Amino acid sequence: VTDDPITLLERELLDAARRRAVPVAEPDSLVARRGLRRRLPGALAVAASVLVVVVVAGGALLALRHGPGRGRPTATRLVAPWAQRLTVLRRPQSHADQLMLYRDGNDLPPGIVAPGSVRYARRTPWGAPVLLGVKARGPQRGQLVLAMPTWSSILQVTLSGSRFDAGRGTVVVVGPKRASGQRVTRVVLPVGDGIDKVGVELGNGTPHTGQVVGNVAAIQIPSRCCTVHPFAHISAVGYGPGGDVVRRWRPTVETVVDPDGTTEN
Amino acid sequence: MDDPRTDGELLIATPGDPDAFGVFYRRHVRGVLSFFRRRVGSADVAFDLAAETFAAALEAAPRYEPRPDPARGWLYGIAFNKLHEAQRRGRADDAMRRSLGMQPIELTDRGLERLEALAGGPAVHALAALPDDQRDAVRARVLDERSYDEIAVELGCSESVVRQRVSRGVRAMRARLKEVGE
Repeated sequence: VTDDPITLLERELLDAARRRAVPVAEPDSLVARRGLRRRLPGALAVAASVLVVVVVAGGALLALRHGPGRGRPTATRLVAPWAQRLTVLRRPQSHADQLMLYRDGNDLPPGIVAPGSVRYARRTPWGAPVLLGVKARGPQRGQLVLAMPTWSSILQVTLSGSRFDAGRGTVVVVGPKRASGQRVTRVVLPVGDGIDKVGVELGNGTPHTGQVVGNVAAIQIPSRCCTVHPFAHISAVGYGPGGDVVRRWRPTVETVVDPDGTTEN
Repeated sequence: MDDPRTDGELLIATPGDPDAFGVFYRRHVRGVLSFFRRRVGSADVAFDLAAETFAAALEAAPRYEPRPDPARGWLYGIAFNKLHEAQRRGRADDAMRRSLGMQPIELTDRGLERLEALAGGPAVHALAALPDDQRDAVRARVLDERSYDEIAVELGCSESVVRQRVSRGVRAMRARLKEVGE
């Protein structure tokens, strides 16, 4: 006997699911095809198969000619112009990615990104999920955003067309204080394919490098560099697998998140 | 051990394997409950809406089709609909649970406490206890994710005042949560 409503609800749901359970059957299409084969003599079956192939091929040709149908979801329409721009980031999500983001209790508020519009999902090297998708509500509805849960708040960066392409769209996270009282600071940069390592130079000219994991570079900055916000003068270099320079850019510092709960833009 | 199947795979398996829905439920019940708790006045109403959401998800599971998007978005789409429906009617509906033949769940005091703890109730109370100006600022910035300049226009003050209110509000909430051992 329990008075835990979560357990009681689970029990009720499972009972309902069992009442509704259906034996796993062969897909209808397979059953129908097998029945057809049994009924028709050999020659007629071949003719029917040829007819099916012709119809399917004709349909495919028509679809190719007329492009995507009218009934596509709104989220897809919204994201379509961005999809080309962000090709290097728009890797298909694998099952592992989805598990990473949605299974282990990351409490991303559901309204941030429209259901069905996630285009990019990775973890940063220290384990924080990064999500790119279309914002579902609020004044920036329909815009592409990068969402990233941090220690105390959700960090969001709106990626406007002129300010973002692969390798730009910068997030700077100021981490929690260590026991020593110093802060761990990391610069986070979504980067394009083919970049294995990123080096950044802050205002004082000191280079710092960090590995890229899943299209996200994270560069740890010693706390002594970060008494002010030197990130306005940041410049970055992307290195390929062989150590060659793939690209140079000046990332845009969009947001600084402070673990004490305040967010500064 | 956690089930390695994705949410979408669990939903697709549900009609032939009812336990798959149990895994899906356990994976998301806390998030859905918190989602409602942040938006309605009490833990029992939040639970009512969460129960109706999962019942609707169970009912719709046989029609769920594989898609590239995470099934979590699908679930929260149902949750949003249930919330809007309840706001429009002024009460949470139980039609889906009745159609599935589910029994109503009586909430005891202990059960309510558990729900409140699970859904982040102390944080909701801490937010409610803030002075009006700080609560409005924290809600607009942290829950609604609006920009500081937009909030400043709405509240009729400067951006730096909004930042201060958010900062003070969050600090006060943290102190309150520490007091109650959260």
